[in-house]
Amino acid sequence: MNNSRFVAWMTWALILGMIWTVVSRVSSDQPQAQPGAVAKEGFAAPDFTLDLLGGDKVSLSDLRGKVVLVNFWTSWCPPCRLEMPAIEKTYRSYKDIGFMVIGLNLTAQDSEQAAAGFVKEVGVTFPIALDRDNAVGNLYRVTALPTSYFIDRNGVIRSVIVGGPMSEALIQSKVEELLREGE
Amino acid sequence: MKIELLYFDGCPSWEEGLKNLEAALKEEGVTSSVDRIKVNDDDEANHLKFLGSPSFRVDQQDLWHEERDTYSLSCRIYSTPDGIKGWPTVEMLRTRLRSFVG
Repeated sequence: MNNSRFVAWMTWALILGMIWTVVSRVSSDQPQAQPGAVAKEGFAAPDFTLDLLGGDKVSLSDLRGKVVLVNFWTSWCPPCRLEMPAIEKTYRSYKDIGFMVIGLNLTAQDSEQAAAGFVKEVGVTFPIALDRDNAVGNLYRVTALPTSYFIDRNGVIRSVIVGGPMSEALIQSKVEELLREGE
Repeated sequence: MKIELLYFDGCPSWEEGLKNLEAALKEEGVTSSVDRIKVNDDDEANHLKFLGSPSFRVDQQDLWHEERDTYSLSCRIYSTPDGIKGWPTVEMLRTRLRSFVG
């Protein structure tokens, strides 16, 4: 390949990449999340279906229309444990007006027994999803715990918080902001 | 070569990470000692651009560098051949170290 042809090829690759980035980014007022999106702010939250602790299943796409907090955690992670009561309190306060939480346990790096024990200890009432093979952790490219994704009613990731513990005030402000958008 | 392990007490996985780092350094013939840097709060995490416990740095560069908007206390996880773990394997560390050792 000569030099000018290589430059032309690279230019086209760059242009196509930029087009894809713009096309795959969705604005918050779009009604439908787009498939194949990456787990970043401003992009559609990748869908998943997981077993729940205690039975049944949950699919993120079934929660469209609600504000959703997906919180990745393990029972051995101290900041995860510390923020769980604040998440539970916020869930109880806003669940009747369109807020949902999925506590996404990285079960591949934890155990169902330990997760169940901690959930019982804290009195968690929101669904705990079990990521037994880390498929969702990989899909969302989670590299630290806890990691929280705030997703709007249209299925778009609006905020990502890596680390913790998140304060109750922080969680509430983010949830209230997203709930207000649907009014 | 300056080698650092950043950690916070909350995540027990840093001790395994340190063991593997020391083993990797030995196998690569690196004689530098490991400086342990304890991160105590979010202010320090921000200042140090702490990516979670444990983090491994050579000459100030994280072996698994990533950019974030904010930095805070968290437990870092690594994608290993045996699945997600709280620390990288010796082989993973050796591979990353080689790019610094040359």
